[in-house]
Amino acid sequence: MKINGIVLSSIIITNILTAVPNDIEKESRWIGSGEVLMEMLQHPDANINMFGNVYIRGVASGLSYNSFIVNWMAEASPEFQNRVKRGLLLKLPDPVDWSEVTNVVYQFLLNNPETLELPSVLLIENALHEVYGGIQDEDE
Amino acid sequence: MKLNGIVLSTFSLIVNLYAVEIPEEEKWTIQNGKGLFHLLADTSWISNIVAEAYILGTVDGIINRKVALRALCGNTVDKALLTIPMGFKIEQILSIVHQFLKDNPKDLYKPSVALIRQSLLRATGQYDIAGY
Repeated sequence: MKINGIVLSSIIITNILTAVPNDIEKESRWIGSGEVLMEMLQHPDANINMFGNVYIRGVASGLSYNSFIVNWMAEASPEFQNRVKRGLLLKLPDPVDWSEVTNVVYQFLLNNPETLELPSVLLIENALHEVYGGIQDEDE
Repeated sequence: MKLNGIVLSTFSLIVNLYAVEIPEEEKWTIQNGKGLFHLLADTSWISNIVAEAYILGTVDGIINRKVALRALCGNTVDKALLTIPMGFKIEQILSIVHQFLKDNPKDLYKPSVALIRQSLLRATGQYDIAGY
């Protein structure tokens, strides 16, 4: 029974990894649509759940790290800083509660079933922005 | 008597583990290079697949954010962002990150996201304006 579970998990994960195109620049969506991510998060196999959870952590780290880079650039250039302040950057709490982050994404997927056909990376970004929404212009 | 000794040793070990606070950078989690390297080097397939999910998620996050950041900051921001060349494969990305972690043991205390980004920037010959 346990071996069946492992074989099934391997097949599902392998399918996900091989089903997507290799062109990251065009696709940047290794895990596919929100439907796939939702299925992983609700899967009875703990390994598949973990795969979905870890993917969300990775996306959140990547999204927030780019914000860090932009902030770094803004500190180096006042002209650049003015532009950044007018925008909106993702800012995760420090320290990050990763269970909360994955739960935020899960709740977003549950509450927005009509969006599940979109790439999961976009849905994760939207979910995190709703809750951890960014650095607003101080003048606004 | 022997059992008492074992209990005492175990108790002492637990007390010592709690008494010494492990610095944040020393903890092995997937969020830092040590934890990520540990998972990639592990012989268990589940450890490997978890590390791979994290790396792919991180790359997706970094790449995906570019569109919004370009709109916000203009093309200047491209100098600081990672661009993956056309045709790159998942296996190449995983191999590049793993090799970078192997080659830079002194940097393993750094955040995994920074090391993943740095490894791919170097492998694709891009200039790292912000450093890690």
